[in-house]
Amino acid sequence: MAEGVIFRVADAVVRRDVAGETFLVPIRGHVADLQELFIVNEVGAWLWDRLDGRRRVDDLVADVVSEFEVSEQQAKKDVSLFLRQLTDAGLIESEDSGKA
Amino acid sequence: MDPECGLDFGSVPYVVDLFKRARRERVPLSGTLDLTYRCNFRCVHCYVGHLVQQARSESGELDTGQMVRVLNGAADAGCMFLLLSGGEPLLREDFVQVYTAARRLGMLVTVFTNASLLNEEHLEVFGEYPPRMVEVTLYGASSATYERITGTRGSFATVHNGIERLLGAGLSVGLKSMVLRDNVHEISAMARLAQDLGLPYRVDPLVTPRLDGDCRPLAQRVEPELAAEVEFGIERQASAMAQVLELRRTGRLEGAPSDRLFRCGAGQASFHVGPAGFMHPCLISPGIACDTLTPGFAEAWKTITAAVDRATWTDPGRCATCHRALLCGYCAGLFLLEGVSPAEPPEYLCRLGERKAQLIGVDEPEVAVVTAT
Repeated sequence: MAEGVIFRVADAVVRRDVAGETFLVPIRGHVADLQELFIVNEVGAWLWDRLDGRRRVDDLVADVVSEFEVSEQQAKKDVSLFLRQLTDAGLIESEDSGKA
Repeated sequence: MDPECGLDFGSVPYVVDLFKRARRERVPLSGTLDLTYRCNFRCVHCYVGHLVQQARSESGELDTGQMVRVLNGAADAGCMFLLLSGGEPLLREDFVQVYTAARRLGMLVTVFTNASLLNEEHLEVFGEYPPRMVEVTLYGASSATYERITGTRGSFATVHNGIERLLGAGLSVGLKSMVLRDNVHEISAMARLAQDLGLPYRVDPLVTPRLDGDCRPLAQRVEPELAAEVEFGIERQASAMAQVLELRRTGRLEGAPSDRLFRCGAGQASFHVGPAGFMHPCLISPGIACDTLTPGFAEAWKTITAAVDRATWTDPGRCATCHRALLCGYCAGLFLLEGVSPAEPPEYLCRLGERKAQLIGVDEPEVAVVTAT
């Protein structure tokens, strides 16, 4: 995944924190092929909060390395996989920052 | 460091675990909001029949802003699964606004409707903000039966047209029926109709008194043995019960006999709010009530959970030693409505449980027996 790509949360997704779980709920028909909700774990929820339309992928990786005790290589791999899952589910949208 | 986006929601064991946690933490994970008690049908068995007569106008119902306040409070408190029901909810002029507000709050919304009043605006908003399911009640497989039960001429054709329109819009639709003396002979035909349409179908065998305690709807109950046979004649319902019993056997599902009157999650993980804004543990426990507007949803929920926690019974009796609470449909609300207690439950429920145990070929696992103090 290109390091300069910027991701933001899709408009039609609502985050709900209920009974110890973090749910991502697509509320409009065109997202996620009508999958009714998704669950992210604690690390996923932490990353979700950083998908603010400003941070690039390499910023996210740097954030992860500084927050969790993990190598840069591992962080890149995990972040890329997570972002791909969210993209495939229609929960986030990307734009290229042009600096990759 | 392992971010995960789980895609496995919907499995029964997961939902059971989620509700177990919600019960323990007193999170109102699911709830029902009855938007109105007005209805365009006049069904013979209706539990809100007397309220339909009282609520011919919209007076006595929360306005749009108040409904949205209830929804905001419910979402803040943790409601994920919301049922919009009635009366006939589509009678409300502001149904679309209320429905959309619930979806925008991230709640998964199911709508119960008789499907006779669907208009283009409803279909448009359902298309844009899809409901989890629109569940339509079928009253019969013939025009004559339909009209006898609903008291409404032309209802059979209107409802079928409504179902076709929901399907045409690509929505998730389910069908269900009450098992009644007047339609039990057509349950098989209704199940076939659902099958032909490729839709899930379920039946509810338990007619309840009206919410004011009027027992006239009970005349529509069929013999409990027949009701059990009809229910478990629906393969989906028999297998769902088998799965639930297995969860109980393995200890994953709680619900053993205890001194608690409410054992089902009502007032612990679920709530009911009527059209005037009063919260109850469930639809059929109107005697326990708290206004959601003043002091607000969160406080009302606290009041209801406290009342449910206090609702215990100590008389030794049949339910104290019986382990068929899942099969018989043990229901604290029904006991309160019928003025009975678990010490001497309605014979109808006991016979229902007994026949279901025979039909499914297993009984609920033995559990610790309550000793009255």
